Amino acid sequence: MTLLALVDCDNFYASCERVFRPDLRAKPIVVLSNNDGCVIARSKEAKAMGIKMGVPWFQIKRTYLAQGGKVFSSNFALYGDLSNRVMHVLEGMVNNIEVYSIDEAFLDLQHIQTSSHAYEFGIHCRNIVRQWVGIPVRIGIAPTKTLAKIASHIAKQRVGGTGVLCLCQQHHVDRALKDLSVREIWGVGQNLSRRLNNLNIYSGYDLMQSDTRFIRDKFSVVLERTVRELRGEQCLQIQRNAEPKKQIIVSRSFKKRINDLEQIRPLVSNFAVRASEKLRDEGQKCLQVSVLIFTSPFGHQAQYRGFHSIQFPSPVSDTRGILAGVQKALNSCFKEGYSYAKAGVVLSQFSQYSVTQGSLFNELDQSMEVKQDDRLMRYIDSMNEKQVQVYYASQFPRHLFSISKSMTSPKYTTNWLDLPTAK
Amino acid sequence: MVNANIGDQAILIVDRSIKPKHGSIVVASLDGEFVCKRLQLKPRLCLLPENPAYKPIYVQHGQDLDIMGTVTAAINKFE
Repeated sequence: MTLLALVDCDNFYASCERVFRPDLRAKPIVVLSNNDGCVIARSKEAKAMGIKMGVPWFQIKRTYLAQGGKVFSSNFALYGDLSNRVMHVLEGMVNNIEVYSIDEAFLDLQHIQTSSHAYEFGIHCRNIVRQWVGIPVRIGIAPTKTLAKIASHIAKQRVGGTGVLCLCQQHHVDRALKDLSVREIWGVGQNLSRRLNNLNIYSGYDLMQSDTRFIRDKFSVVLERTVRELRGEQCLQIQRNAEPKKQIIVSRSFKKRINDLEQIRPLVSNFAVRASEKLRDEGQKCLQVSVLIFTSPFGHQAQYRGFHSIQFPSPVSDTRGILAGVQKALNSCFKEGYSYAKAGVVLSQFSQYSVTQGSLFNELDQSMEVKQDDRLMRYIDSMNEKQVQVYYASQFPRHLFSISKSMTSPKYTTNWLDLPTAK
Repeated sequence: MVNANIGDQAILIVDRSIKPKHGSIVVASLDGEFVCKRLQLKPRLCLLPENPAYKPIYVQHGQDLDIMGTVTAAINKFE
């Protein structure tokens, strides 16, 4: 039996905030989204206070702080670096790892034969990551990715447990699946679970017992694969090289509501510039750019969600070309008379995924000149990395716009000036 | 930590993967604060300041001590 493990960092962003702040141990911590809009991470103490994921900060601010809760703006420089450290340590422990997200990785446990060895490995791994990086993790070990996810999910809910759970023996798997609603299974969302419930499939065990043909016909090959994975049949392999991104989104809430197109324009330009940088970072070019603008779902004002896409005649990674597309898209989706709260830019249809010939039936907008100069972009990117800021004319200079991040912790691990101090 | 040749404002290199031994210079968190001390394990657990101006800290039951890592080098600042 080949085994694999899912290593999942506990409340990752909140745990990161604690690594260099030992005084915050056992204190409730929440981390806010960009511009301090809503809660995107909670320590277990904050969860125990009843703080829900995604709740707008302004709604809980007063009572949360009054109860002694701590709050941080998101500090992705810190989270990204600590994530790299965790992954680096894990890479040293096994031959093959798939970094699945910023706080999760699948490990190939080929070298481990028995479940008791696997359990010991899990404990060892957890202790090492805890000591070397300072981040608590929990580990689910099982023959398939889907079961490993379930094992880690159960490990999370066991208060005071070791944080390591093996689902290697059939009677353990059966018992775990009987107690698990189908909704909790990886890849089964709310919709699917409702449809499954209608067929009297309520628990993971029910799903595992279902006929694979029936599931494939009634649902999809994907769900059939889930059933097989629940039975311990490995359908999803560990992917050493994670797939490159298929789209890049940069979106933010505004500090205050904006009605005026000319005030939104420079902000959207900023998102476009940031998205273009990310695109070049990935070594990609895109054929489509979209703009979204939203009014606030809170409050009683009229609601509107605008969205418009522009197709480029050829793949683009030049910020100037993307800015031109973004401005056209914004003009098309902006409507007068609304108070906008949020906007975003989406780059998609990366050249790697599409044939890059010009279209035969060229319905594309020929009036749009698409500038593309790779050398110029490399030059500008390298300058901007060195803190010399080059702006595009339609942008709002960042130091004026500066995202309000009043509660950001220091960049302990990536900036000399922010090193933690010891007495 | 002057007696261990670590001056004020020195930059410490801390290796979290080295298991601290009796006599190691360590960075530890004690009651929610980072401290740099020499670790004494015998005859009883104690954090030595290596500085005549400070007293050794005998860690009591109920005190929150976590050794973060072993100091492997220090860069002293002269100005």
